[in-house]
Amino acid sequence: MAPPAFWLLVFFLVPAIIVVGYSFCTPKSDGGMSPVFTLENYRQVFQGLYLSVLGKSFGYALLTTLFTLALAFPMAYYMAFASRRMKMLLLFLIILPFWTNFLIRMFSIMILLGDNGLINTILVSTGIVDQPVKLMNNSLGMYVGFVYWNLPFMILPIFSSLDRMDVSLLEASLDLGASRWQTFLKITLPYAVPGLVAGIIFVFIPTLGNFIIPEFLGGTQNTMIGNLITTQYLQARNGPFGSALSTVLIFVVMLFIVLYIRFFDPTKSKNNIQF
Amino acid sequence: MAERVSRSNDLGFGQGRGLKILTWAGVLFLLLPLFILIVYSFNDSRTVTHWEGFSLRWYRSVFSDSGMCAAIRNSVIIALFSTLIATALGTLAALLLAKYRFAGKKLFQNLLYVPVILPEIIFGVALLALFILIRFPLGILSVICAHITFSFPFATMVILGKAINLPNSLTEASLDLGAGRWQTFRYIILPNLSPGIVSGALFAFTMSIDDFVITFFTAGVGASTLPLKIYSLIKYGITPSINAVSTLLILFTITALLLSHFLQKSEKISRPLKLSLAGLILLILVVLIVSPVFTRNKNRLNIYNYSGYLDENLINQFSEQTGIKVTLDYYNDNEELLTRMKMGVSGYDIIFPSGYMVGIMKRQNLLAPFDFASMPNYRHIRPDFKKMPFDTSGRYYVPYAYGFTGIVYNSTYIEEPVDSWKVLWDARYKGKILMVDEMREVFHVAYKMLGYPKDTDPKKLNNARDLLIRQKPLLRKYESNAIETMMASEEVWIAQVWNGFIYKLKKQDPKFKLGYPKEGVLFFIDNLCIPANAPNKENARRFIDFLLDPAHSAQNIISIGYAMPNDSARQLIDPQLVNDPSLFPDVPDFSQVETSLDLGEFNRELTRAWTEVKAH
Repeated sequence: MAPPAFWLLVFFLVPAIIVVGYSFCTPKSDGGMSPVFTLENYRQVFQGLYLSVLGKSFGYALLTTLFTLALAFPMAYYMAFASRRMKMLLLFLIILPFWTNFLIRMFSIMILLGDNGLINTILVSTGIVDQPVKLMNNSLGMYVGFVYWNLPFMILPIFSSLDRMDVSLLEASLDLGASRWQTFLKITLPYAVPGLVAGIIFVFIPTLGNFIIPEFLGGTQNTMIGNLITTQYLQARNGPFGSALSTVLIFVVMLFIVLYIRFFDPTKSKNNIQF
Repeated sequence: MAERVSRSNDLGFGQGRGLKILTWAGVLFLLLPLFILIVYSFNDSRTVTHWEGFSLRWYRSVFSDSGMCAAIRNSVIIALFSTLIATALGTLAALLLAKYRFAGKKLFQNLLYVPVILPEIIFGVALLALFILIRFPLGILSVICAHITFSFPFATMVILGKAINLPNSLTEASLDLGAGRWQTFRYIILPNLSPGIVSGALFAFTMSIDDFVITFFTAGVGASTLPLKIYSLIKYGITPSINAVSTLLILFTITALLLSHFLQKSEKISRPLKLSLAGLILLILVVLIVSPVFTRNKNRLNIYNYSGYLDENLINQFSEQTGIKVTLDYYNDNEELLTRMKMGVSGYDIIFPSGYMVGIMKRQNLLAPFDFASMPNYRHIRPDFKKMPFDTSGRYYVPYAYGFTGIVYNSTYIEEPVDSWKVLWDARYKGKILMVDEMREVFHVAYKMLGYPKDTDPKKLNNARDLLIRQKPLLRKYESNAIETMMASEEVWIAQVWNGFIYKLKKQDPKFKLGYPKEGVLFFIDNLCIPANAPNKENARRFIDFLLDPAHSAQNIISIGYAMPNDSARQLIDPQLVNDPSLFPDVPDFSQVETSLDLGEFNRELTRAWTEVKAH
């Protein structure tokens, strides 16, 4: 068992411990840190302003997850019942942007939403508006970016759960007098749950830590925890404070992972990721 | 399967028209932006979104960009190596989890899941902390290690799906029949796992090729990957060549996807095909390794600069004359520069710190002294710039360019002349105002607005901070790079900018005008410095002397739009330009004007206030 465990130890566990360790160090004014124990960094994190950034990030991630889910679930549902050929085609089309570089996808969204972008060009040239509408550098642009980025991550696991559904169960349910709505609630939805949970986690957590989309598509108000961490490391040279922010984020994520593993052991479920 | 589907269709599940429309709308939403990128990559226009006819010029510009080619090569090398190791580790881990019981299995398994969903930024920060702590040089090797770490748990999971389904009876039979452990692994386990291993490897490869965030934190000089290059194209100067690169990448993806689909579909891939595939991968590796990425090329020069702050023609000219290969990376501001320098493993040979930053770096022994005897062109530098207060010895810097931060505005929308910083708080221009993303510049304006002198009173700092927080709802963005594009596209009408941007915009269109605030402006002097740990100091010295040559200096001034304290160069420039205050501000004595200062302990307070402005 040695090599994989060893690798994880050296390049994952040890670095994480270093970050946690740094978060208790005292920052020096020249940008270094002295190994003097302090809780000051955490006091700072939990002071109103930064706590509100954390809260804001949670809100953005939550709303993003909801928006993505609202679009992804019907799509996955449609795909699960489509013909085999159609399934393959839709899967291919959905995976295509998923395998295209993330930054390129964000840039393509910028082209779409910019003041001179496609949408505004159409709106202005058809006379619907006379000034370009501000579609990015605000919350709207940020949400479009997040949903676009996350959509395949949500569709694929839900589809993979629904696709395993035994249709004879649906048939039996209808035969036995249940309504379509009851059938959906009692059979389809329980089947979708593992995929739903996986999808929600695959969307919520990466969104929580993202700093590129708020930077490129968001506005001045849309600072997220990821932006704060990046600034602390690269500009403010306040490693200890950046580490404290990171540690808080690590703990939040760990909480989710523990809950996930507790309720949906991935080795036992048949829903291992398969492409 | 076919039967199941037809029965479900009989029941009419998932057949609603609304559902169908929604699904295809979703697919359109996913594909439309990519489609636009592809179409516009053939656009013969400098602006990204205005169609002017078919052209292949951006493809040519991609292939003639040596930085881009190096980035592609780095990406492929990193992806191949990390895939190889990640897949091996992943196969091992999957077999362990599927077939063995051991102490700590549960822990190991849970640990494996953490990297899969941990936000990438945490990963990047943690690995950076590790590499700095053990003084592991940031470069290709550090990036490969980082990529293995995040991709092998994914590979494990993909392979695990197959490993669980591998019946124990097969391996037991093999061992019973006298095969050794290795033979069992080679002839029973591996062939049965191979579809999973192929998918796992494919997954690892794609993740490595695609990764930006973790590479952003762990890459050093010369390890710029394609995503890093794309990021710098988006951030530091959008040209349509991004579209061309993107289109090439999309084509590559489609090919790879179809190929893998075909490979997985055909259950028995013929042996010659497998061999030739393996041979092909090996060949690519060998070619790439032999190419001069890994060999320590003596004749190199690594420049770390702002974007658009050095005439690229001069770099090409220098390379042709001397045979020295120049790489160019960008940073955002002085603070980021200092951070990278302090990581101690930067690998850059020339940097461009502002005056106060020269002072800070010199104090922390980050700079190498110059020997001006071997730099004949140093005599062209104006004497009053040679021993500035930030380095009275004058030995650690060569003055590069100077200027000030003023206002540029679009007179189509802002009719009255601008002569005050107040206009940046004018609610009539809400959403059309831009400030630079530089804390010292931004706070300078707030201090001027409040009429404060420069001191270290925390109360004044907090008032300035509050003024900036009140301004935030009016701003489009804090932005230091894409200012020219955003003004030209009229996304913003008015901006706090460095005078070089004003000069370039005025040249583009006379509707752009210079606003010189009466409250006072902040001047800057940027300098050429050689880091103490620069690997190619001699080349750096040669290049700096090359830049100081009056003809080169004049060319550079016109190109970047900033004045340089080089009187011989000034005489070579059109007098009309010399009299343009947005190019040559009237500064009789530079030591008398207001510049950013090193505030010592107060730096930390300033940073705190700036973080608070950003966080609001």
